[in-house]
Amino acid sequence: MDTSNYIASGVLELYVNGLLSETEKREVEALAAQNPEIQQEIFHIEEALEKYALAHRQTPKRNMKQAILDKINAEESKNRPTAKIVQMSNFRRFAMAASVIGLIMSGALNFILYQNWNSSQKEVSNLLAEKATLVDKSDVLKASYEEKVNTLAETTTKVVQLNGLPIAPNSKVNVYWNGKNQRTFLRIENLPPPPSDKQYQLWALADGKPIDAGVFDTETAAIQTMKTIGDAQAFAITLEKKGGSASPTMDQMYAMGKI
Amino acid sequence: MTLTTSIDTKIVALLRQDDKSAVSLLYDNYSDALFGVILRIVNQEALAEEILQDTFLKIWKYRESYDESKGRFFTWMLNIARNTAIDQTRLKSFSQKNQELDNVVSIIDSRDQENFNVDAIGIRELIEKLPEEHRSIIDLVYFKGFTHIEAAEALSIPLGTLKTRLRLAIVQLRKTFGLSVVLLAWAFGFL
Repeated sequence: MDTSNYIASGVLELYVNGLLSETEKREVEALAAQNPEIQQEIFHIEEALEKYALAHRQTPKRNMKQAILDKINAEESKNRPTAKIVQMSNFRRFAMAASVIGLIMSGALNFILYQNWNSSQKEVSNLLAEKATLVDKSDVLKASYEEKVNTLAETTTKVVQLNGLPIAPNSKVNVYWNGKNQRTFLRIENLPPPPSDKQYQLWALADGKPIDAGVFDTETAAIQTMKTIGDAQAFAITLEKKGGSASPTMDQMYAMGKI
Repeated sequence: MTLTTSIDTKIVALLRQDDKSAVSLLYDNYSDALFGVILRIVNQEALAEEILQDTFLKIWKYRESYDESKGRFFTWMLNIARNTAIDQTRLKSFSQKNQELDNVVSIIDSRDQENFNVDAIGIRELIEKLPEEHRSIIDLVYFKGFTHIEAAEALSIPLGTLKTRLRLAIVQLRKTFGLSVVLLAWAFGFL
């Protein structure tokens, strides 16, 4: 198609004046999009008609501008959604997302750290309590150990060897008795384990009378502290009910030794 | 070539950003032209004011539909103003149409005297130099919203002739304005 003929046909003037049907209009637009000359011509026609319109200028009333701005504002607030959606730049979007993620992570981290701190606190106080008990225990042990050693080292302490009687002939138990401070200790060399409902009991024999010196365990090889004994000529061990008896069961005597 | 491009570009950019200051700028630059066109179409001040308001509302409302590749921004606005005004007159007086068809040329001629903006930088004289038949055709299609068929009928000429004359009229218009721009530029010492 010859462009200058097309331009001369007058169809573009009809187009600019809005006088073409929709189909014809789309045809012109398609041609203009491909052909800069046609597009240029359309612009010139438009420009000419704009100037023609400008030649008829009339100034509207003064308050018109405000009236129009008010109307547009009223129209806008009618259609506006309740929350204004603000378009953010990519950087802002990124920063926003990053800070939200950061906040969540920081929150999670805080929670974990708080949990750790909490359990550490508990552990520390447990350890401190344990340490205090250990110190106490060690003080007690030290005191009792020193006492035992001091007692045993004294020349007034007598070692009494208790030997097995016919009921358990291999039994052998040593009793250490200090007549001065009345301290009495015991150490098992050999003694058959008692039935679970029974316990061994140590007796001091003073002027033919048995005096209770306390019950003791057989599981330990340590020197055990017994009750204080004021006077004794001999010591004996009987098997008694758990917790001990007021007087010895004579037919259950396992060992005996004279001072 | 154009006197308005830079301000148009600015206004279009503001409209794209949904910035209402565009409306203020539009009003300051174009309300006179739009109002003049509307007034010429409806020929009634109160109605023209109403239509001017509607025109600005429409420009704002349909701001996204303006396509730079299809035409000039001012033309786009003028067409909104024209169409709003023409729709209004069609609504108001369908029956007056036939009467107008008969007397249209004389009516337009007499209105020219009332409505021409005397301040319009000497363009009036230039337009008056346009041959009578050219002015009639432009006025009919531009200000009265006549279809080319109606316009041909009103002027008692065949459709092909109307097309040719409309083209000639606008070519003439372009020459006239081209000359006026040169004269103005010379007058202000730009040449």
